[in-house]
Amino acid sequence: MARQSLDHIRNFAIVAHIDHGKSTLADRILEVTGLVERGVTEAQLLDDLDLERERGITIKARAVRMHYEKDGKRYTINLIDTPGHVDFSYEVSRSLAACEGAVLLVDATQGVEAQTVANTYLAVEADLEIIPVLNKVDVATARPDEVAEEIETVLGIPAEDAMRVSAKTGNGVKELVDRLIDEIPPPVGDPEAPLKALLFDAVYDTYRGVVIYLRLIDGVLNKRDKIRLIGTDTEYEAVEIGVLAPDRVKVDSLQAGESGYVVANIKSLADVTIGDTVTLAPPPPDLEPLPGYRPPRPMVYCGLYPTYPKDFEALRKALQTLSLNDASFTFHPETSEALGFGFRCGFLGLLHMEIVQERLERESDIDLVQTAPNVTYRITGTDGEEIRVEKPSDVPDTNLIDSFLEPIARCSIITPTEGIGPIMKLCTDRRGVYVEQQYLSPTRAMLVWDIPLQEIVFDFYDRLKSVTRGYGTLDYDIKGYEPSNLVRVRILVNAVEVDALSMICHRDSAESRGRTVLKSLRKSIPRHMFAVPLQAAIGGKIIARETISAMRKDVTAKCYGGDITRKRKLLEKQKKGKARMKQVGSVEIPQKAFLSVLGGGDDEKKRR
Amino acid sequence: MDGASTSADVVDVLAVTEGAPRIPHLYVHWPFCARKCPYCDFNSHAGRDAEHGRYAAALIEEARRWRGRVDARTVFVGGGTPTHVDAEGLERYLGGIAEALGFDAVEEWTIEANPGSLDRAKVRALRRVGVNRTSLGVQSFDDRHLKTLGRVHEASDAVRGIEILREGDMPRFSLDLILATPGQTLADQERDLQRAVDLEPEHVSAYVLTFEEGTAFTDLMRQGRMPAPDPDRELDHLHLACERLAAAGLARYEISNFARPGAESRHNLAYWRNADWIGIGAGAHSHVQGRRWANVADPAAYAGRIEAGALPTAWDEHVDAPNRALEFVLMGLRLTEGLDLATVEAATGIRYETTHKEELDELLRHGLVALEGRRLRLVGRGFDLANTVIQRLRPRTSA
Repeated sequence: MARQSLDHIRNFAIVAHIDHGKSTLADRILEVTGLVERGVTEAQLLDDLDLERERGITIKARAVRMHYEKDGKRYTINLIDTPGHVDFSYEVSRSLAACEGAVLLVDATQGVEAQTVANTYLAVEADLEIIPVLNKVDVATARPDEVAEEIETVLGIPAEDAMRVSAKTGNGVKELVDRLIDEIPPPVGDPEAPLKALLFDAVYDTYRGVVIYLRLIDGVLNKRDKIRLIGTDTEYEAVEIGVLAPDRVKVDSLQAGESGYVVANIKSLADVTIGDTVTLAPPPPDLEPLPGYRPPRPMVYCGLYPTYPKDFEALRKALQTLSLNDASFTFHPETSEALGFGFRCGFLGLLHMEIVQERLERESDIDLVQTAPNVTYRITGTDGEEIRVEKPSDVPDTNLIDSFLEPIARCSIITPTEGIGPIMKLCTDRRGVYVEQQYLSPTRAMLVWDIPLQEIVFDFYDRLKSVTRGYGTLDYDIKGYEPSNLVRVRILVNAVEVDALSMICHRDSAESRGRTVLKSLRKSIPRHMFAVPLQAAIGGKIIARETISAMRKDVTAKCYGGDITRKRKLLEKQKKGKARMKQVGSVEIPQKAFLSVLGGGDDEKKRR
Repeated sequence: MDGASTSADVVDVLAVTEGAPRIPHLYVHWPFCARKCPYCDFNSHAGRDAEHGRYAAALIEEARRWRGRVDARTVFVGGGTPTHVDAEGLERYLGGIAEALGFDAVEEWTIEANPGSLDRAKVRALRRVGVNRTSLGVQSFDDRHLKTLGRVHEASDAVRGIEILREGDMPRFSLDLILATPGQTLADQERDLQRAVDLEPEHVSAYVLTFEEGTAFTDLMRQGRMPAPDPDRELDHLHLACERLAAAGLARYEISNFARPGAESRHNLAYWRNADWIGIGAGAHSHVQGRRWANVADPAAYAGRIEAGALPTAWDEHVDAPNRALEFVLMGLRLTEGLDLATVEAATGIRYETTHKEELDELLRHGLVALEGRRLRLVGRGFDLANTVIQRLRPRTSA
C-alpha cells in the first residue's frame, strides 16, 4: 500500500504560563478545524480530570488529531497539550519531544511570566519552531506592544509579527492555524524504515489497562502488530490502535510523523517507562533507541497517615490506584511513633503534593493526617557513606555527620518593579543568594536567586504573592546540592519526642523556627488536666520552650434526670472528635498540630 | 394537631416496664411561666396560660395510667414555674395526681417556685395536698443582677417569699442561686451568699451561669453584646460559694448543691444514683432499669396525645451496658460521696478497675479522684474538672 509523504503533518504544542488561556485556545483550534462544534462541548476539552477543569490547570499531557484544509491541501495536525506548572516540567519536555513546533502563548494583559520563560527554554532546547502569540487582545487592559517587546527582551524571540488573538472569542485563531501550517516544519521520518516510536505518555484505564501514547518517528504500526518496548525488554500485542480526536478513535495503522494511542494488555504503569523506544518484535538488530528522558525524581516528601489505623490498607490501595496514573508519585510504608503506620510520599513539588492529596480525598473516603513537607537531603557520614534523607527522623546524630547537603533551587521571579525591594528582602530572609536581575520593560523585572528548596517548600509562594499583590510569578529549577549548616530540631511534648514534628533547618534559624513551632503547638493542643511542657531541642540541648498550662475548669453546672441522655450523647460526640487526635504519651495532639512545622498559623490556609 | 399518632419505632413504655419493681420516684413537669428567662433552655412557655386547665387534666390522666406501678417516695414538681397557676388550679392538678397514684409513702415532695409567684393561698394549697419542700428560684439578692438575668421578681420578693413559706408552715425550703452573672463582681457574689446564708436555708443550689444553645443569652454572647464566659472568673465565684456555704454548715454534696447533713434533696440524689423514676408531663424524661424515654415536648401536643388515648412518648432508648456504666459515672461522680463501682458492675457487668485501669491510675496520680475500696469519688481539683474526669472514663467501644 502506498504511504503518504509526511509533509501534510504538523505536530505542535502550546507553551504558556498558567492561566494564560492555553486550554481555551486549544478548544478554539479544535473548533476551527471542525473537530468539535462550538458551544456544544464541555469547557476545556483537553483537561480530563475534574481537578484539571476546576483548577484550570493541565496536569497530564494529551494529544489530539485534527484535519484541516489549506490551499486545497488536507493536513493532519496533532496538538499535544502540555501542563503549565513547574512541577510538571518533565511532562512538558516529553510532550515537546513529540513536536516540531510550539505556540508560545502570552497573556497580553499580564505579560511574560516565570513559567512562560521556563517553558520557552524547554521548547528552545527541544529545537522547536516557536510561534509567539498574544492572547486576550480583546481585553481593555491588554498592552500587546509592550508584551511583544518583553518577549523579545526576555526570550530573545522576534515578536514584531506576533499573532494577536482572543482565545475567548476565537478572533485570529484561524489565521493562527494557517500560520502553523506555513511555519512549522513537517516531521522528518521514514515510513519505510523499521518502526521506531517514542513512548511519551501512558495512562491507566480501569477497563483497558495501561494505554500508551506513541509518537512515531519511523515506520508504520498496524493493528495486531507485536510491539517491543526496548527499555523494559517486554513484548505486547497492539490489540487496538487509534488517535485522539479528542476521544479515542480506532484506526488500523499509524505511520511515521503521527501520534496515537495503543492498547496492548499492559497491566500496570510500572511495566512501562515514559521515554522508552517502541519498535516491532523481533527488534531490528541495528535499531538505535531514541534518547530517553531522565525520570523525574521526587523532591518534596511528606508523611500521609490514616486518622483511623483501620484505614491503613485502604490508604495503601488508594495510593496504588493513584500511582497507576501518576508515575512520578512515589510512596512507601513508614512508621511513626506518634502517628503509627502510614506512608512516606514523594512529589515533584508542592503543587503536585496538593493535587495528589486532593485526589486522594476525592477518590477515596479516608481521613488523613499529613505531616509537614520536607525536601530530600544528602548526608555524608563520618564513615564516608552517603545517605539520602527523606524525613527528619532519618538524620543521624550530629557527631556522625561529615557534611549535610540540601537542594538549591534557581528561582526566576517576574514582578512589577515595585515588588523588587520586598522580594529581595524575602529571598535574603530565606537564605537566598542573588544571581541576576533584568528589566523586561520599564515596569517589570525578572530576578534570579538561588534559594534552598526547603525554604520554598515553606510558604515562599504565598509570601511572594502577598508582597507583589498577586503579580509576582515564580519558576524554579533544581540547580544541585550544596553543603549547609543544617540541624535536626526535635520537638518534645510533655518530655516525649514526637518524631512527626521533627524538622531540618539551618542552625541560624533553628531557635526561631523552634519557637514558632512551639507557639503554634501551644495554640493547637488543647489544655489538659496537667500542664504540658513543650520543648525544641538540637540533640540534647533545649533551644526553646513553652508550656500549655493545665485546664482549670471543665464542669457542667446542672445535671438532672432529663439531662442524662443529652450529656451522654455529647460525650459520644466528643469521643468522635477525640478519635481524630493522636495520643502521644498522655497528651492528645490534634491532627492540625502536625502541620505546625509549617509555622505562622498559616497551616489552615495551606490545606485549602 | 397530630396528638393521636405515635411513631412506630417507639415502644409501649407501660408494657415494656411491666414487671419492674414499683417505681419509687416521680417527676411532674409544669411547662408554663410568666416570662421566659433569657438564659433558660428548659421546656417552658410564656403566654400560654389558657392551656393550664387542659394540660392539668392531661397530667392527671397520664398519672392514672401509672396507677399501681408507682410507689413514690419522692415527688418533684418542676418547670417552667409550677406555681405559675392560680391557687385553685394548683391544688387541682397536684391533688389530682396525688389521688391518681396514691401518695401514701411519699417522704419528700418538692415544688419549684419563683419568689414572685408565691402567695399565702398557694402555700396553703401546697400544704393541703402534701408538698413539704419548696425550691425557691431566688438567683440573686441584688436587683441589678436580677435585671441582667431578666427575672420578673425583685430581691425583696425573695425575702417575702421565704416569709410566706415560713408562715405557711412549709417544713423545708431550698434557695437557687446563679453564680458569676455578667457584671457581678466577687464582692457582689460574696454579699449574695451572705444574704442567702442569713436566711438560714437547709439547702442551697448554686449554679455557675451556663450559656445554653438556643437561649437569648447565647445569641447575645455570639453577637458580642455580652461577655463570653471566663472559666477562671467562674471558678473564683464557685470556689467562693463552696467556702461561704461550708462555713455556714451547708456542705457540698453535689457539684452545685449544698445542704445541712440530712437535708439533701432525696429526689435529686435518686437521679445522681441512677435510680428508676417516672416523669409525667410535656417533655418529661423517665428511666426504668436501663430504658430511657421522653414525652413530646409541646404542652398542647402532649395533651392531644393523652386525650386521644395515645402514648405521649416522643422517643425511647434501651441503653446498652457500656453506656449504662457511663451514666452511672456521669451522674454518680457529681456526688461528693462518689459512686460504688460494685454497683456499676452488678448493673452492667463492667468492671472499671479492669477496663479503665490506665485512666484510673492517671486520674489518681493527678489527684483528681480517690478510690477507697470500690468507691470512686472526685477530690480536690477533680470537682473543677469533672467533665475531663468523666471523659476519661467513657466506655471503650470501637470508633
